[in-house]
Amino acid sequence: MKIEKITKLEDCFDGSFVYSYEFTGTVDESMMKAMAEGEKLQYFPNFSKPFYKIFTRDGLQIKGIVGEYNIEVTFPVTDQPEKKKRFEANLKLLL
Amino acid sequence: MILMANSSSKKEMNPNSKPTPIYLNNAATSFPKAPGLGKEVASLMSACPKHPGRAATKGEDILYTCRQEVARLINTNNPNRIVLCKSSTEALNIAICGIDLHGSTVVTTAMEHNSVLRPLYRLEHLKKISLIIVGCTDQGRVNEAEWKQAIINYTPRLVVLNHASNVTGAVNNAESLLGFARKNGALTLLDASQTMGIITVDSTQIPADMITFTGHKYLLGPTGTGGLYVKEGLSLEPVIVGGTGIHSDLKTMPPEMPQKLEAGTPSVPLFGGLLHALKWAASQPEYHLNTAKYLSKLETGLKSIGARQVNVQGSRTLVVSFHLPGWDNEDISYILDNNYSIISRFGLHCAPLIHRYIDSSSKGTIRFSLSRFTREEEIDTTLEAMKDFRQ
Repeated sequence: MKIEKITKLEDCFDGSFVYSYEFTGTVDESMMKAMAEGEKLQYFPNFSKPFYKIFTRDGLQIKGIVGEYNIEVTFPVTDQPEKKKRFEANLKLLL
Repeated sequence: MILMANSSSKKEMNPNSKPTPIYLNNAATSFPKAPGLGKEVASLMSACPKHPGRAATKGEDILYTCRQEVARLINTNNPNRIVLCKSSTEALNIAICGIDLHGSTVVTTAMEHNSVLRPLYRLEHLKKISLIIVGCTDQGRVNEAEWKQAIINYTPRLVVLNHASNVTGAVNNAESLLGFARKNGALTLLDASQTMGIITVDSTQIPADMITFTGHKYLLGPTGTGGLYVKEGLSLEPVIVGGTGIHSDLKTMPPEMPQKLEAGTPSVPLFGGLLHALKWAASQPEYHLNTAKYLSKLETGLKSIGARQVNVQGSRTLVVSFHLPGWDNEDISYILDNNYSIISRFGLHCAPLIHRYIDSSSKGTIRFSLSRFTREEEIDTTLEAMKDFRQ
Protein backbone atom coordinates (compact mmCIF):
# COMPACT_ATOMS: atom_id res chain seq x y z
CA MET A 1 0.00 0.00 0.00
CA LYS A 2 1.18 3.52 -0.79
CA ILE A 3 0.10 7.06 -0.09
CA GLU A 4 -1.84 8.13 -3.16
CA LYS A 5 -2.68 11.72 -2.28
CA ILE A 6 -2.15 14.20 0.53
CA THR A 7 -4.67 17.03 0.71
CA LYS A 8 -4.72 20.00 3.07
CA LEU A 9 -8.18 20.43 4.55
CA GLU A 10 -10.02 23.46 5.87
CA ASP A 11 -9.68 24.32 9.52
CA CYS A 12 -11.59 27.29 10.87
CA PHE A 13 -10.13 27.29 14.37
CA ASP A 14 -6.66 27.69 15.78
CA GLY A 15 -4.39 27.42 12.82
CA SER A 16 -3.75 23.70 13.28
CA PHE A 17 -2.99 21.89 10.09
CA VAL A 18 -5.35 19.17 8.96
CA TYR A 19 -4.37 16.85 6.14
CA SER A 20 -6.16 13.97 4.49
CA TYR A 21 -3.96 11.02 3.54
CA GLU A 22 -5.44 8.82 0.88
CA PHE A 23 -3.99 5.36 0.31
CA THR A 24 -4.03 2.90 -2.55
CA GLY A 25 -5.65 0.36 -0.19
CA THR A 26 -7.95 0.40 2.80
CA VAL A 27 -6.91 0.94 6.39
CA ASP A 28 -7.80 -2.24 8.27
CA GLU A 29 -7.73 -2.93 12.00
CA SER A 30 -4.13 -4.12 11.99
CA MET A 31 -3.00 -0.94 10.26
CA MET A 32 -4.99 1.10 12.77
CA LYS A 33 -3.33 -0.74 15.68
CA ALA A 34 0.08 -0.26 14.14
CA MET A 35 -0.49 3.51 13.91
CA ALA A 36 -1.70 3.48 17.53
CA GLU A 37 1.25 1.49 18.88
CA GLY A 38 2.34 3.20 22.09
CA GLU A 39 -0.24 5.95 21.60
CA LYS A 40 -3.75 6.54 22.94
CA LEU A 41 -6.48 5.00 20.84
CA GLN A 42 -10.22 5.63 20.98
CA TYR A 43 -12.14 2.97 19.15
CA PHE A 44 -15.87 3.08 18.39
CA PRO A 45 -16.95 -0.26 16.95
CA ASN A 46 -20.72 0.13 16.92
CA PHE A 47 -20.94 2.13 13.73
CA SER A 48 -21.50 0.23 10.51
CA LYS A 49 -17.76 0.69 10.00
CA PRO A 50 -15.76 1.38 13.20
CA PHE A 51 -14.42 4.85 13.83
CA TYR A 52 -11.07 5.42 15.54
CA LYS A 53 -9.08 8.33 16.81
CA ILE A 54 -5.44 8.23 17.85
CA PHE A 55 -3.79 10.84 20.07
CA THR A 56 -0.03 10.74 19.72
CA ARG A 57 2.67 11.93 22.14
CA ASP A 58 3.72 14.37 19.42
CA GLY A 59 0.32 16.07 19.76
CA LEU A 60 -1.14 14.70 16.52
CA GLN A 61 -4.71 13.51 16.16
CA ILE A 62 -5.29 10.78 13.62
CA LYS A 63 -8.79 9.71 12.78
CA GLY A 64 -10.35 7.34 10.34
CA ILE A 65 -12.89 4.68 9.57
CA VAL A 66 -11.82 1.05 9.46
CA GLY A 67 -12.10 -0.15 5.88
CA GLU A 68 -11.76 3.30 4.30
CA TYR A 69 -8.96 4.50 2.05
CA ASN A 70 -8.09 7.61 3.98
CA ILE A 71 -7.20 9.06 7.37
CA GLU A 72 -7.32 12.64 8.60
CA VAL A 73 -4.41 13.98 10.60
CA THR A 74 -4.43 17.17 12.66
CA PHE A 75 -0.97 18.55 13.37
CA PRO A 76 -0.32 21.01 16.17
CA VAL A 77 0.94 24.49 15.34
CA THR A 78 4.24 24.00 17.17
CA ASP A 79 6.92 22.37 15.06
CA GLN A 80 4.31 21.44 12.48
CA PRO A 81 6.66 20.88 9.50
CA GLU A 82 9.01 18.63 11.49
CA LYS A 83 6.16 16.67 13.02
CA LYS A 84 4.53 16.21 9.64
CA LYS A 85 7.79 14.99 8.14
CA ARG A 86 8.33 12.56 11.03
CA PHE A 87 4.74 11.28 10.82
CA GLU A 88 5.01 10.65 7.09
CA ALA A 89 8.34 8.84 7.50
CA ASN A 90 6.82 6.58 10.19
CA LEU A 91 3.69 6.07 8.14
CA LYS A 92 5.69 4.87 5.14
CA LEU A 93 7.32 2.25 7.35
CA LEU A 94 3.88 0.89 8.26
CA LEU A 95 2.55 0.70 4.70
CA MET B 1 -3.61 1.79 25.46
CA ILE B 2 -6.89 0.89 23.80
CA LEU B 3 -10.03 2.58 25.07
CA MET B 4 -13.17 0.80 24.06
CA ALA B 5 -16.31 2.80 23.60
CA ASN B 6 -19.72 2.12 22.11
CA SER B 7 -19.15 -1.61 22.29
CA SER B 8 -22.59 -2.72 21.18
CA SER B 9 -22.83 -4.96 18.12
CA LYS B 10 -22.15 -3.66 14.64
CA LYS B 11 -25.00 -2.75 12.40
CA GLU B 12 -25.79 -5.11 9.55
CA MET B 13 -24.69 -3.20 6.51
CA ASN B 14 -22.48 -3.80 3.54
CA PRO B 15 -19.34 -1.88 4.52
CA ASN B 16 -18.48 -1.14 0.91
CA SER B 17 -21.84 0.20 -0.12
CA LYS B 18 -21.91 3.90 -1.00
CA PRO B 19 -25.48 5.13 -0.76
CA THR B 20 -26.66 8.29 -2.46
CA PRO B 21 -25.58 11.18 -0.24
CA ILE B 22 -28.12 12.82 2.02
CA TYR B 23 -27.24 16.45 1.62
CA LEU B 24 -27.99 18.57 4.70
CA ASN B 25 -25.67 21.48 4.04
CA ASN B 26 -27.95 23.76 2.07
CA ALA B 27 -27.17 26.82 4.18
CA ALA B 28 -23.65 26.61 2.74
CA THR B 29 -24.73 25.89 -0.81
CA SER B 30 -27.83 24.13 -2.05
CA PHE B 31 -27.94 20.68 -3.56
CA PRO B 32 -29.62 19.64 -5.72
CA LYS B 33 -29.99 22.83 -7.70
CA ALA B 34 -33.06 23.80 -9.69
CA PRO B 35 -33.90 21.02 -12.16
CA GLY B 36 -32.29 21.64 -15.54
CA LEU B 37 -29.76 24.15 -14.21
CA GLY B 38 -26.68 22.24 -15.36
CA LYS B 39 -28.08 21.82 -18.82
CA GLU B 40 -28.94 25.51 -19.06
CA VAL B 41 -25.46 26.65 -17.97
CA ALA B 42 -23.77 24.14 -20.28
CA SER B 43 -25.92 25.30 -23.18
CA LEU B 44 -24.95 28.93 -22.57
CA MET B 45 -21.29 27.99 -22.20
CA SER B 46 -21.31 26.38 -25.61
CA ALA B 47 -23.44 29.04 -27.30
CA CYS B 48 -22.01 31.95 -29.29
CA PRO B 49 -21.29 34.62 -26.63
CA LYS B 50 -23.40 37.72 -26.44
CA HIS B 51 -22.20 40.71 -24.54
CA PRO B 52 -25.31 42.67 -23.76
CA GLY B 53 -24.65 46.36 -23.83
CA ARG B 54 -21.30 45.87 -25.49
CA ALA B 55 -22.19 45.00 -29.05
CA ALA B 56 -25.17 44.93 -31.35
CA THR B 57 -26.50 41.42 -30.69
CA LYS B 58 -29.86 39.83 -31.18
CA GLY B 59 -31.74 37.70 -28.72
CA GLU B 60 -32.52 37.81 -25.03
CA ASP B 61 -30.40 39.99 -22.78
CA ILE B 62 -29.88 37.37 -20.11
CA LEU B 63 -28.33 39.74 -17.60
CA TYR B 64 -31.20 42.18 -17.85
CA THR B 65 -33.80 39.41 -17.65
CA CYS B 66 -32.01 38.07 -14.58
CA ARG B 67 -32.14 41.53 -12.99
CA GLN B 68 -35.85 41.66 -13.83
CA GLU B 69 -36.48 38.34 -12.09
CA VAL B 70 -34.56 39.44 -8.98
CA ALA B 71 -36.40 42.76 -9.01
CA ARG B 72 -39.72 40.91 -9.22
CA LEU B 73 -38.67 38.69 -6.31
CA ILE B 74 -37.87 41.60 -4.02
CA ASN B 75 -40.75 43.68 -5.37
CA THR B 76 -38.97 46.62 -6.89
CA ASN B 77 -39.83 48.03 -10.29
CA ASN B 78 -36.40 49.08 -11.54
CA PRO B 79 -34.18 46.15 -12.55
CA ASN B 80 -31.28 48.55 -13.08
CA ARG B 81 -30.98 48.89 -9.30
CA ILE B 82 -29.93 45.24 -9.15
CA VAL B 83 -26.16 44.94 -9.34
CA LEU B 84 -25.02 41.47 -10.33
CA CYS B 85 -22.01 40.20 -8.38
CA LYS B 86 -20.14 36.96 -8.07
CA SER B 87 -21.22 36.43 -4.46
CA SER B 88 -22.94 37.96 -1.51
CA THR B 89 -19.50 38.68 -0.08
CA GLU B 90 -18.65 40.79 -3.11
CA ALA B 91 -22.01 42.53 -2.88
CA LEU B 92 -21.47 43.31 0.82
CA ASN B 93 -18.03 44.73 0.11
CA ILE B 94 -19.44 46.92 -2.67
CA ALA B 95 -22.16 48.14 -0.33
CA ILE B 96 -20.05 48.71 2.79
CA CYS B 97 -17.05 50.19 1.03
CA GLY B 98 -19.12 52.16 -1.46
CA ILE B 99 -20.45 54.54 1.18
CA ASP B 100 -18.36 57.36 2.58
CA LEU B 101 -18.12 56.20 6.17
CA HIS B 102 -15.06 58.20 7.15
CA GLY B 103 -15.27 59.19 10.79
CA SER B 104 -18.67 57.63 11.33
CA THR B 105 -20.11 54.80 13.36
CA VAL B 106 -21.44 51.54 11.97
CA VAL B 107 -23.76 49.32 14.00
CA THR B 108 -23.99 45.64 13.24
CA THR B 109 -24.77 42.45 15.14
CA ALA B 110 -23.10 39.39 16.64
CA MET B 111 -25.13 37.25 14.24
CA GLU B 112 -23.18 38.38 11.22
CA HIS B 113 -21.17 36.24 8.87
CA ASN B 114 -17.52 37.10 8.26
CA SER B 115 -18.61 38.48 4.88
CA VAL B 116 -19.98 41.41 6.90
CA LEU B 117 -17.63 41.40 9.87
CA ARG B 118 -14.33 41.32 8.01
CA PRO B 119 -15.02 44.33 5.73
CA LEU B 120 -16.15 46.23 8.83
CA TYR B 121 -13.14 45.11 10.91
CA ARG B 122 -10.89 46.30 8.11
CA LEU B 123 -12.49 49.75 8.06
CA GLU B 124 -12.20 49.85 11.84
CA HIS B 125 -8.54 48.82 11.66
CA LEU B 126 -7.91 51.59 9.14
CA LYS B 127 -9.52 53.96 11.67
CA LYS B 128 -12.21 54.95 9.19
CA ILE B 129 -15.12 53.85 11.37
CA SER B 130 -16.13 53.08 14.91
CA LEU B 131 -17.78 49.69 15.02
CA ILE B 132 -20.53 48.76 17.45
CA ILE B 133 -21.59 45.13 17.60
CA VAL B 134 -24.98 44.44 19.15
CA GLY B 135 -25.53 41.14 20.96
CA CYS B 136 -28.20 38.56 20.32
CA THR B 137 -30.48 36.21 22.18
CA ASP B 138 -29.84 32.55 22.94
CA GLN B 139 -31.79 31.75 19.77
CA GLY B 140 -29.38 33.77 17.69
CA ARG B 141 -31.80 36.60 17.03
CA VAL B 142 -30.77 40.23 17.49
CA ASN B 143 -31.39 41.69 20.92
CA GLU B 144 -33.88 44.36 19.85
CA ALA B 145 -33.56 46.52 22.96
CA GLU B 146 -29.77 46.60 22.63
CA TRP B 147 -30.07 47.37 18.90
CA LYS B 148 -32.33 50.33 19.53
CA GLN B 149 -30.14 51.59 22.37
CA ALA B 150 -27.03 51.40 20.16
CA ILE B 151 -28.75 53.41 17.45
CA ILE B 152 -29.88 56.06 19.92
CA ASN B 153 -26.48 56.22 21.62
CA TYR B 154 -24.22 56.19 18.56
CA THR B 155 -26.36 57.63 15.71
CA PRO B 156 -24.69 55.40 13.12
CA ARG B 157 -24.24 56.38 9.49
CA LEU B 158 -24.82 52.73 8.51
CA VAL B 159 -26.40 49.66 10.08
CA VAL B 160 -25.83 46.16 8.73
CA LEU B 161 -28.31 43.47 9.68
CA ASN B 162 -28.40 39.75 8.98
CA HIS B 163 -31.91 38.80 7.91
CA ALA B 164 -31.39 35.29 9.29
CA SER B 165 -28.56 33.58 11.07
CA ASN B 166 -26.74 30.94 9.06
CA VAL B 167 -25.93 29.23 12.38
CA THR B 168 -29.33 28.99 14.07
CA GLY B 169 -31.79 29.92 11.33
CA ALA B 170 -33.45 32.59 13.50
CA VAL B 171 -35.00 35.31 11.34
CA ASN B 172 -34.84 38.90 12.49
CA ASN B 173 -37.70 41.34 12.35
CA ALA B 174 -36.02 43.39 9.63
CA GLU B 175 -39.03 45.68 9.20
CA SER B 176 -38.86 46.85 12.78
CA LEU B 177 -35.07 46.86 13.27
CA LEU B 178 -34.20 48.62 10.04
CA GLY B 179 -37.22 50.91 10.35
CA PHE B 180 -35.94 52.14 13.70
CA ALA B 181 -32.45 52.66 12.29
CA ARG B 182 -33.71 54.55 9.26
CA LYS B 183 -35.96 56.74 11.40
CA ASN B 184 -32.84 57.70 13.32
CA GLY B 185 -30.91 58.69 10.22
CA ALA B 186 -28.94 55.55 9.38
CA LEU B 187 -28.48 53.96 6.00
CA THR B 188 -29.68 50.38 6.18
CA LEU B 189 -28.09 47.27 4.67
CA LEU B 190 -29.78 43.89 4.87
CA ASP B 191 -27.84 40.67 4.29
CA ALA B 192 -30.45 38.33 2.85
CA SER B 193 -28.04 35.54 1.93
CA GLN B 194 -29.87 33.03 4.13
CA THR B 195 -33.41 34.09 3.31
CA MET B 196 -33.82 34.88 -0.39
CA GLY B 197 -35.68 31.91 -1.80
CA ILE B 198 -37.32 30.74 1.43
CA ILE B 199 -38.49 33.88 3.23
CA THR B 200 -40.16 36.82 1.54
CA VAL B 201 -37.75 39.72 1.10
CA ASP B 202 -39.96 42.59 -0.02
CA SER B 203 -38.17 45.88 -0.57
CA THR B 204 -41.44 47.78 -0.19
CA GLN B 205 -41.99 46.30 3.27
CA ILE B 206 -38.44 46.12 4.61
CA PRO B 207 -36.88 49.58 4.95
CA ALA B 208 -33.54 48.55 3.49
CA ASP B 209 -31.47 50.96 1.41
CA MET B 210 -29.44 47.99 0.21
CA ILE B 211 -30.07 44.26 0.14
CA THR B 212 -27.46 41.65 -0.65
CA PHE B 213 -28.16 38.10 -1.76
CA THR B 214 -26.42 35.04 -3.07
CA GLY B 215 -27.61 32.90 -5.95
CA HIS B 216 -26.32 29.52 -4.88
CA LYS B 217 -28.12 28.93 -1.61
CA TYR B 218 -31.91 28.92 -1.44
CA LEU B 219 -32.31 30.52 -4.84
CA LEU B 220 -30.96 27.17 -6.15
CA GLY B 221 -28.67 28.81 -8.68
CA PRO B 222 -24.99 28.29 -9.43
CA THR B 223 -22.08 29.34 -7.24
CA GLY B 224 -20.45 32.46 -8.60
CA THR B 225 -23.71 34.41 -8.58
CA GLY B 226 -25.10 36.98 -6.18
CA GLY B 227 -26.11 40.58 -6.13
CA LEU B 228 -26.94 43.84 -4.50
CA TYR B 229 -30.11 45.90 -4.58
CA VAL B 230 -29.49 49.63 -4.20
CA LYS B 231 -32.48 51.80 -3.45
CA GLU B 232 -33.40 54.49 -5.97
CA GLY B 233 -31.62 57.73 -5.12
CA LEU B 234 -28.74 56.17 -3.20
CA SER B 235 -25.40 56.56 -4.93
CA LEU B 236 -22.49 54.28 -4.07
CA GLU B 237 -18.89 54.84 -5.09
CA PRO B 238 -17.58 51.89 -7.09
CA VAL B 239 -15.17 49.61 -5.27
CA ILE B 240 -13.92 47.89 -8.42
CA VAL B 241 -13.33 49.98 -11.54
CA GLY B 242 -12.64 48.99 -15.11
CA GLY B 243 -14.39 48.22 -18.37
CA THR B 244 -18.15 48.41 -18.62
CA GLY B 245 -18.83 48.51 -22.34
CA ILE B 246 -20.37 52.00 -22.14
CA HIS B 247 -18.82 55.48 -21.90
CA SER B 248 -15.44 54.01 -22.70
CA ASP B 249 -14.10 57.51 -23.33
CA LEU B 250 -14.55 58.46 -19.67
CA LYS B 251 -11.75 58.21 -17.13
CA THR B 252 -14.26 57.30 -14.46
CA MET B 253 -16.92 54.67 -14.17
CA PRO B 254 -20.16 55.61 -15.97
CA PRO B 255 -22.78 57.19 -13.71
CA GLU B 256 -25.54 54.84 -14.87
CA MET B 257 -26.69 51.95 -12.76
CA PRO B 258 -25.93 49.12 -12.68
CA GLN B 259 -22.82 49.61 -14.86
CA LYS B 260 -21.36 52.05 -12.34
CA LEU B 261 -20.89 49.18 -9.89
CA GLU B 262 -20.25 46.37 -12.38
CA ALA B 263 -16.75 46.53 -13.84
CA GLY B 264 -15.52 43.63 -15.92
CA THR B 265 -17.20 40.99 -18.06
CA PRO B 266 -19.97 39.22 -16.18
CA SER B 267 -20.53 35.48 -16.38
CA VAL B 268 -23.53 35.27 -18.68
CA PRO B 269 -23.78 31.45 -18.41
CA LEU B 270 -23.89 31.56 -14.61
CA PHE B 271 -26.43 34.36 -14.47
CA GLY B 272 -28.37 32.50 -17.14
CA GLY B 273 -28.32 29.61 -14.70
CA LEU B 274 -29.55 31.83 -11.90
CA LEU B 275 -32.29 33.15 -14.17
CA HIS B 276 -33.33 29.58 -14.94
CA ALA B 277 -33.45 28.77 -11.20
CA LEU B 278 -35.49 31.89 -10.41
CA LYS B 279 -38.02 31.08 -13.11
CA TRP B 280 -38.25 27.47 -11.95
CA ALA B 281 -38.80 28.48 -8.32
CA ALA B 282 -41.43 31.02 -9.34
CA SER B 283 -43.36 28.20 -10.99
CA GLN B 284 -43.05 25.92 -7.91
CA PRO B 285 -43.90 28.10 -4.90
CA GLU B 286 -45.40 25.50 -2.53
CA TYR B 287 -43.09 23.58 -0.21
CA HIS B 288 -43.11 25.20 3.22
CA LEU B 289 -45.51 22.79 4.87
CA ASN B 290 -43.24 19.77 4.57
CA THR B 291 -40.00 21.45 5.49
CA ALA B 292 -41.50 22.79 8.74
CA LYS B 293 -42.65 19.27 9.59
CA TYR B 294 -39.21 17.82 8.83
CA LEU B 295 -37.46 20.44 10.94
CA SER B 296 -39.69 19.57 13.85
CA LYS B 297 -39.11 15.85 13.39
CA LEU B 298 -35.36 16.37 13.22
CA GLU B 299 -35.35 18.45 16.39
CA THR B 300 -37.47 15.97 18.32
CA GLY B 301 -35.26 13.09 17.22
CA LEU B 302 -32.04 14.88 18.10
CA LYS B 303 -33.41 15.82 21.50
CA SER B 304 -34.22 12.16 22.21
CA ILE B 305 -30.54 11.20 21.83
CA GLY B 306 -29.34 13.97 24.14
CA ALA B 307 -28.27 16.56 21.58
CA ARG B 308 -28.15 20.14 22.81
CA GLN B 309 -29.88 22.30 20.26
CA VAL B 310 -30.40 25.95 19.70
CA ASN B 311 -34.10 26.15 20.35
CA VAL B 312 -35.36 28.63 17.77
CA GLN B 313 -38.93 29.87 18.15
CA GLY B 314 -40.88 31.93 15.64
CA SER B 315 -39.75 32.80 12.16
CA ARG B 316 -36.85 30.65 11.02
CA THR B 317 -35.06 29.19 8.04
CA LEU B 318 -34.36 25.49 7.42
CA VAL B 319 -31.50 25.12 9.89
CA VAL B 320 -30.99 22.97 12.99
CA SER B 321 -27.83 23.63 14.98
CA PHE B 322 -26.70 21.35 17.80
CA HIS B 323 -23.87 19.63 19.60
CA LEU B 324 -23.73 16.30 21.32
CA PRO B 325 -21.98 16.20 24.70
CA GLY B 326 -19.12 13.70 24.68
CA TRP B 327 -18.44 14.07 20.98
CA ASP B 328 -16.37 16.47 18.91
CA ASN B 329 -18.51 18.12 16.26
CA GLU B 330 -15.95 17.42 13.58
CA ASP B 331 -15.95 13.70 14.44
CA ILE B 332 -19.72 13.48 14.16
CA SER B 333 -19.62 15.21 10.79
CA TYR B 334 -16.77 12.96 9.67
CA ILE B 335 -18.55 9.76 10.73
CA LEU B 336 -21.84 10.87 9.20
CA ASP B 337 -20.10 11.55 5.92
CA ASN B 338 -17.90 8.46 5.77
CA ASN B 339 -20.24 5.91 7.31
CA TYR B 340 -23.67 7.11 6.26
CA SER B 341 -23.07 9.49 3.35
CA ILE B 342 -24.81 12.27 5.27
CA ILE B 343 -23.35 15.67 4.51
CA SER B 344 -23.45 18.16 7.38
CA ARG B 345 -21.36 21.13 8.44
CA PHE B 346 -19.48 21.64 11.70
CA GLY B 347 -17.63 24.50 13.36
CA LEU B 348 -18.24 28.21 13.65
CA HIS B 349 -19.91 28.47 10.22
CA CYS B 350 -17.96 31.68 9.47
CA ALA B 351 -20.03 33.49 12.11
CA PRO B 352 -17.68 33.50 15.10
CA LEU B 353 -19.45 35.95 17.41
CA ILE B 354 -22.88 34.32 17.67
CA HIS B 355 -21.47 31.33 19.54
CA ARG B 356 -20.98 33.47 22.66
CA TYR B 357 -24.75 33.82 22.91
CA ILE B 358 -26.15 30.44 21.91
CA ASP B 359 -25.77 26.94 23.36
CA SER B 360 -22.64 26.13 21.40
CA SER B 361 -19.68 23.93 22.24
CA SER B 362 -16.12 25.29 22.32
CA LYS B 363 -15.89 24.20 18.70
CA GLY B 364 -19.18 25.60 17.52
CA THR B 365 -22.06 23.43 16.39
CA ILE B 366 -23.08 20.83 13.88
CA ARG B 367 -25.56 22.19 11.42
CA PHE B 368 -28.15 20.32 9.42
CA SER B 369 -29.71 22.59 6.82
CA LEU B 370 -32.58 21.34 4.71
CA SER B 371 -33.88 22.43 1.36
CA ARG B 372 -37.17 22.22 -0.49
CA PHE B 373 -35.91 18.93 -1.92
CA THR B 374 -35.24 17.24 1.44
CA ARG B 375 -37.38 14.11 1.80
CA GLU B 376 -38.85 12.65 4.98
CA GLU B 377 -36.98 9.37 4.56
CA GLU B 378 -33.72 11.33 4.54
CA ILE B 379 -34.65 12.81 7.92
CA ASP B 380 -35.51 9.33 9.19
CA THR B 381 -32.20 7.90 7.96
CA THR B 382 -30.29 10.77 9.55
CA LEU B 383 -31.99 10.24 12.89
CA GLU B 384 -31.29 6.50 12.73
CA ALA B 385 -27.64 7.28 12.10
CA MET B 386 -27.54 9.76 14.98
CA LYS B 387 -28.77 7.05 17.36
CA ASP B 388 -25.44 5.28 16.86
CA PHE B 389 -23.73 8.17 18.66
CA ARG B 390 -25.53 7.43 21.92
CA GLN B 391 -23.06 6.36 24.57
